[in-house]
This record gives sequence, C-alpha cells and structure tokens, in this order.
Amino acid sequence: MFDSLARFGHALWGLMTPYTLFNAVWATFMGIVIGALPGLTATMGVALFTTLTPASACSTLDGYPLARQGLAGRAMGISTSGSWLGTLFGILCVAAFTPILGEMALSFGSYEFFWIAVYGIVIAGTLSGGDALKGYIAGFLGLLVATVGREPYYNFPRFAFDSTDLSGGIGLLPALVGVFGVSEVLLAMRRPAVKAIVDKLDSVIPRVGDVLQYWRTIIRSGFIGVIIGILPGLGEDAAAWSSYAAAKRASKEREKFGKGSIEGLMAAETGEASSVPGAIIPVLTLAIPGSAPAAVLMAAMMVHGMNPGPMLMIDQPTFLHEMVAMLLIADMVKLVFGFILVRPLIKILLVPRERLMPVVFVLCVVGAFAITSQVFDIYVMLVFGLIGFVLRELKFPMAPLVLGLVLGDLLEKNLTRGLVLSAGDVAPFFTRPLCAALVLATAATILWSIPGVSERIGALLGGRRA
Amino acid sequence: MPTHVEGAATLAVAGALGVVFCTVPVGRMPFRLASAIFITSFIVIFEWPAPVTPRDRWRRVGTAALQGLACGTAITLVFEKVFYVRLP
Repeated sequence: MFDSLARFGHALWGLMTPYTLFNAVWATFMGIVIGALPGLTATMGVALFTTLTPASACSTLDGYPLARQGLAGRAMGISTSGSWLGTLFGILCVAAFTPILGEMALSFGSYEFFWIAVYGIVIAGTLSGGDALKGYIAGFLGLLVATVGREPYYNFPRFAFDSTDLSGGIGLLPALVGVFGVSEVLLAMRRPAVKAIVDKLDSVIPRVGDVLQYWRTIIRSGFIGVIIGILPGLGEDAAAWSSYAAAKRASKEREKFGKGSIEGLMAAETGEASSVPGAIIPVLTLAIPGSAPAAVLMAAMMVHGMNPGPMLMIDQPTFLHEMVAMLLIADMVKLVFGFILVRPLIKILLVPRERLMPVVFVLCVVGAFAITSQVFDIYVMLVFGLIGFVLRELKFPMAPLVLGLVLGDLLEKNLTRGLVLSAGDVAPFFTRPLCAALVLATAATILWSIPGVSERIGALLGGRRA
Repeated sequence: MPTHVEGAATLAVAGALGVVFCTVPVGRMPFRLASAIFITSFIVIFEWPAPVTPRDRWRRVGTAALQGLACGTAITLVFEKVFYVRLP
C-alpha cells in the first residue's frame, strides 16, 4: 500500500508542470462550457477534445425549484461540491479496484474475453433505456461496422467494395465524432431554438454544513455511481437517477424531494460524478468501456499507443498512478472553475445556436481528420453523423452502437484465437467456469428483456411470496 | 410555418451546408479560409430571415464575417501551433 502511495505521489509530482496544469485548466474549462450548453454532451466534449446532458435532468428536479426560491446560487454550489466529492470518491475507487480487477483479468483467456465483449453489448442493449430490441439492433449494427476492412488474421477484405480507403476499416474516432458530434449538431438545429432566461444569482459558495449534514448520502451515492459506471452502457444519467431514488428512499425529509431538496440535488450530482471515474475502471482492466465518454477515452488511449486491458499495468505500470493523479488535478480545477465560472458562463448560454453550431461542426472536422490525416475520415464522420441522427430520431440508444464499434475487434480476435487454440472446438466457450457464468448471465439478460418472460417470472416470484 | 416543417427545413439546410463544407472547400483551400467561409455562410443563412431592419441585418452579416474569420484563425492557430495537429 505504501509503495502504491509513493508511486502516486511521484506521479502527482511529475504532473505538476506548467504545461500539464495548463492542459488540465483549458480542458476542464472546455468540458464545463460544453456541459453547460444545451444540446452538447459530455461524450461530444470528450470526442472533440480527446479530452444541458441527460444526466443533468435529474439535478433539475430539485435544482430548478431551488432556483425558483431565489437560491440558484446555493443550488449551483451544492451541485459543484457534490460533483467534486463524487469524482473524488470515484477516483479513490479507481485507485483501489483497478489493480484488483486487473490482477483478476490476467487470468482471463480468449474464451472469457469473447463472452465479456458479448455480455457488454447485450447488457448495454438491455439497460440503456427504451426498447431492448432497439438496443440489440444498435449493438449488432456497431458490430457490423466493426467488420468493415480486413479480417484480422488472414487479411481478407470485407465490405471494402474494391476501395482502398474502406479496406483500411472504419476509423473508431471519426465514427464516434460523427455519432456524438455531428448528430448532436443536427439535433440541435432540428429542435426549436431555446432562449435562455437569466435570473439574478445569490452566492454560489456552498455551506460546509450542507455538505457535512448529508455525508451518508454522499457516500451512498458515490458507491451507486461507481457500480453503475462499471457496468457497460448505463452511463451518468442512470447513476444520477439511481442515486436520487436511493437517497429519497433513505431520507428523513423525503417530502422535500422534487420541491427543492438539498439532499436530492447532492445525491444526483454525487452519483453522476462518481460514475465517470467508475466507467474508466473496466476500460483500464478489461478494455471494455463503461459508458460512451469512456469509450471515446479508450479510443483516444489506443490512438496514443496504449493498449487498455489487463496488460496495461504490466506494460505501463506507472500509467494507473498517473491517470489517478491527473483525475485528481482535473477534479480540483473543476472545483475552482465551478465556483468562479457560474456568472461568466451564463453569458455563454445566450449565444444563439446559429453562431455556436458551425464552430462545433468545424471542431468535429478537425477531430475526425487529426488522427490519420485522411479526408476519408471526414466522410466517415459525415456518414456516421447522419446515421447517428436518424437512429436517435428513431429512439435507438447510442451506447450499444458505440460498444459494438469498440468491442467488435476484441470480440472477433478472441473468438478466432479461442477457436484456433481449441482446434475448432466450441466446448471451451461454454465449459470453462467463468465462460459458463457469462453465458448464463447473457442468456438471463436477453430472456429478462423479453416482456412476456419478465412478467411471468415476476408473477411466479410474486405468487411464491404470497 | 408549422414547427415541425420549420425544424425539418433548418435541419436540411444545416445538413446540406455541412456536406458542402466537407466535400468542396476542405482539402482544396487553406483550412482557415474554408472554415471562415463555412461559419460565416452558416450564420448569415440562418440569421437572414430574422425580422430586423436592413441596417441591423447588414450589421449581423458583418459580425458573422468577423466571427468566421476569428474562429477560423483561432482554431487553425490553436490546433496547428499549440497541439501540432495536422489540419485538412
């Protein structure tokens, strides 16, 4: 433990350079600006800088009534401190659980990784909200796109249509920039223009008593957020709503929830914030993203030559400590910005979308082109932007699509490698202990998502209890 | 105009501008110029129908051109000189 602390201290000291701190400051600033603007999302922020979202909807349940009571500043202070504490809790979990899970993952073979990839896509399809069938379709669409290019072992071109550009495959980052960047721009232009109404603000500095009074809520929401962050496809909004619901159940002031409850706002923000570092844990240990922003982060890591997964801590043993140190620095910068940027950011909310969206689109083009410097990637970004827009209009969830894109390569390589190792025998995919457990979990998840089956099981269990 | 028709028209114009930007000027002229033209055109096309006086309209065109130039220059400088990212 002391060795770990020493490495962490060394990593933190190494990152305390003017250049690194400057990067942390501007990246956090851009993240806050993008998060504040209606229509822009955290995933877009990550995709654009590799580096009014749905998760914030939960915060408005109590944040807006507080604002109506003239306590908008106090609400923002609670949001900022809840977000800071949630992220801090998540960072501690990353530092504590990543080595343990990484150690476990070293014993996983090709067979286990194949089923982990399959389960990740299935659970994302089931739990990402809405129709599970649409989730599965999105997941398989992502897998289909991942097969475009050359087969990894025999180099056979697939869906290339004699094009050298397509035979190189669909770039992950241009596709993600398209799905989360360009489609958001199109969605923002499709919706009626939103006119921001700016009220006067009271003080945004939170009261220490507010934070100390609800320490149980903070820890509970932190745990819920981290666990939900680890599960693929759920994301920050599920963490926020789950933490809010748990806080309301346990609260002695539950009648205040929805009417301006400080505890409710704190729970939503803490749960949402702690899910973000939580989603990084499976990225570092299993190369499976826990959320769409984590998927983009993983793609960025791969672009920079890092191989997320169990070998990461062996190939680059200092990376975990450096990541934890960087998360801590970013969290501290976020806390400071959260207090000082509230009033200036209100002015940014007044920028009309006609003036903002073209700049976002240009940044999307830069992001798509930056990795391989090919104009083809810009066309990929455009096509996926249109596909992402159409799918979102049809209420298809994006998380399974992203997971299919990201995990397709992992899934195929491990399937092929497993079959080569077993000389074509599929039995090890079902008979190894962890594989058998994952097969059962996958089958149970799929069965549970079928409306008739889940109702029957619910009725059976209800009948037995009665 | 009904809201859904207006939304579809806005979407179509925005989408068309994006496609034209990616397929025509990008890669054929300096990115600074291409993005300045795109940003200016986008703003002017969407703000032109607004019910304002002709003087205000031309003032908006002027500010759109300034914004296009400023953003095109800033994006190019930041990404090329600070982050060493190659631009189209």
